[in-house]
Amino acid sequence: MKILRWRILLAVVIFIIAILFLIPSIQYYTLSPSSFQKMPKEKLNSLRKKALHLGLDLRGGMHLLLEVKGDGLPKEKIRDARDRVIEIVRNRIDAWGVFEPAIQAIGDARVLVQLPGIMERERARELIGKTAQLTFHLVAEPEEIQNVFNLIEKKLQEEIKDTGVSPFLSCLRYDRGDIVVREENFDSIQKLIEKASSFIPEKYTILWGRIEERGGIKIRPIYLLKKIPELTGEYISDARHTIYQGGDPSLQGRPIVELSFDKKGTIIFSRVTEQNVGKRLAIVLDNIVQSAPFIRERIPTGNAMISGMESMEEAKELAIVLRSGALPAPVEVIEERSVGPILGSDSIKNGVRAAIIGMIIVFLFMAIYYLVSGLIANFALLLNLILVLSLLAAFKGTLTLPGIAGIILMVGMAVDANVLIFERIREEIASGKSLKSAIDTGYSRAFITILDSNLTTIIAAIVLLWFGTGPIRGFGLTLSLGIICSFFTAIFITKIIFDYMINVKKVKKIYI
Amino acid sequence: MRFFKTPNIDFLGKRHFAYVISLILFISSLLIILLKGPKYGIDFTGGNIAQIRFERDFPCEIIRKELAKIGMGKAEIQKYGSERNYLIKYSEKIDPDSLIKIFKKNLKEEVILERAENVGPRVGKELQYKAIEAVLIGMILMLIYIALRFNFKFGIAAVLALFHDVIITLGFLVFLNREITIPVIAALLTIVGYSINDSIIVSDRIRENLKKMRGNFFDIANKSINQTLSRTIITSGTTLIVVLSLLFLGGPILRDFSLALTIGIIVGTYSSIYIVASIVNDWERKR
Repeated sequence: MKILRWRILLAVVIFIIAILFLIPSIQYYTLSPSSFQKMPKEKLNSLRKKALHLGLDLRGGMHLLLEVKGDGLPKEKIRDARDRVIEIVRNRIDAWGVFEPAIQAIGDARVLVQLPGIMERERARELIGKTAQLTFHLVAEPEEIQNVFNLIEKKLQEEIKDTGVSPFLSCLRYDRGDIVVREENFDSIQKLIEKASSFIPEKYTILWGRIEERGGIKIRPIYLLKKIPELTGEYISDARHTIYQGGDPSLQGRPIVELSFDKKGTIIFSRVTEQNVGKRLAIVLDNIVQSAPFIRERIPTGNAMISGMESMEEAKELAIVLRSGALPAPVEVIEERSVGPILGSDSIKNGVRAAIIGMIIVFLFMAIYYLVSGLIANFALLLNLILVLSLLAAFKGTLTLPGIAGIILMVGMAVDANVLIFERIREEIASGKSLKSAIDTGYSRAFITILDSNLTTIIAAIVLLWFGTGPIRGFGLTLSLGIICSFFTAIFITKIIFDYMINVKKVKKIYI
Repeated sequence: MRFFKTPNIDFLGKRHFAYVISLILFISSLLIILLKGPKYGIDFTGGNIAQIRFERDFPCEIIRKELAKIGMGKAEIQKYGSERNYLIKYSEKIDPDSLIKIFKKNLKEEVILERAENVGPRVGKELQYKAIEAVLIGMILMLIYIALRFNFKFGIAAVLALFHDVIITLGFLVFLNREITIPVIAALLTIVGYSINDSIIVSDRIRENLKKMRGNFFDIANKSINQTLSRTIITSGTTLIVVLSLLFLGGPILRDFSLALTIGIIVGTYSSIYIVASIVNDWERKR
């Protein structure tokens, strides 16, 4: 009796935990479009992270496998090129603003890119396919900047026929030598600049810096650069991140990036630095200014140093960015699987419909065939479903369309455990045993059979989990989870209910 | 409720009839697989898939003509669920987006690209190897399991039944002109697991009864199959219910996958009732 109490407690605790893990998913997926809009972004994102993860085949999105074409290159070079590709692609995708992209290395030469919720194929391909453009531009002198920005302001005022307001300059701030714009104003300022682009003198171009956080505020520096680059990335032979150990005490112990140019680059760099001491040279990758260090002196050696990074991590990133300017090998998309959002939601609808109808028929059958015991088995099946979904949510598993199929199949198969037990109990009752002892022998005898009859299906499911790619792994995942959980629900939980009915409620006859 | 009060069906007595049926199915499946050859999906051959959707029902013939005009007469066009949705499978190096543009321009119809898949030829080869590897490793693990779990004769019978189930399922798929894709391979592997699982229940009961009862193998085996019949039918039945609901309601993407499972479950259930014990019985008698 005491043991029964503990068993009930254990079961209840497990299911409370399971349901707690499922609550974010229920909240997230039942959000109405209007409350979806109203909810603050931070809260929505944290909810989305905790909710059950849907595969690209269900939520729509692009799955791209890239390969670095480096025939004949040594392994380390290819691996290095792969890391640079990852860095470049990440930079570009971040600039695009895709939510939760996944970019990961696969083997030595491949990169897997997953872009959920997006099916702009041309843009994505362009983004990934084009080689990184690294250029060095002189930053315009402060008075030039003032002139050009004033001009833009004036023209914009003329446009709206109101000289009283300041559409452009009022959004700009000086911060540590940079002109910066708050991130929330980025879009509107970008539009203004586009509008005013015809008034900007030919020799200049306006480019943005990277998003940074300064004093808790997200900002973006804005730069006025000479349009024609002084140098391009093809002249860089190497870039390394390291700790400064030279003579300047103000830089002592700070992270820096060391650059080396090749022969031709050395000559150009020497000339540029000589003619522009005291000016800033912007390092631009894919039209985004990575940093804009001051030229302190003429650099004849072809070795340059960039300082001003906040951390070693930032220095490392910049070094990768600089090296990636000269990608040693081209990149090719070797596999693509893209699903549009409509097809994705159709798949969810179809999968859920098949699951519900299939389950209802199985439930009805069990209830009719085994009566009360059938209802107990159905209850166990429902718990099994909750358990599988909550495990998926808790361990950040991905639910795919084949994954839904796995759950459906699991429902049909998990019944087996209870069928085996009930058939045994019927036989034991038929041979003249009392209800209580028939149930006890039924469970203990059927257990081994259930174990090894399910083992082969689990083996098959685990092989799929290992070797499968993409969505089909989801099938192996839900099927194996479902069968493993069914040991708990179909045996442990149903036995509790039977024991409770016989020992506590003193039920004399249970319909099996 | 129960289907069979005390069933007493002479399964083994009809085993010769079952052998004939199984042999016919098995050999014709083998012949179909070898002569007709499986149709592999782009997962394994490499190529492109474009799933498109029109705003209204649209005749397939016009799409075919349009494709022929741009030299893609060999492309395969498949109705996908309804007259609005089509799947175009082709090997030419043309991006699905370009196809959409051509359709929009020449047909003056709203067309949406719903799914685009491209598998490079080398990736296709790799997926082939991977699938073969998965099936082989799955088979080896199952054989190890059978060797540990069954005695020699039952083990051989279970393996024979296993091949019987997989080959016949595959034969049906090839016969019905279904594509062999990664999900179909996954279904076959699942069938392997399911087939053994069914054989285990029956042969375990036979071994248990051989210890308990007196009499010859034939009668005991028959009795055992009858004793487990309810369970076999119910479990196969519920599994079949859910797989059928997947086949008819799960949408076109899962159709081949659920078809493979449906056939496999039916054949697997049949072989565990009629084939496994029969083989062991004839083997015992020969001695």
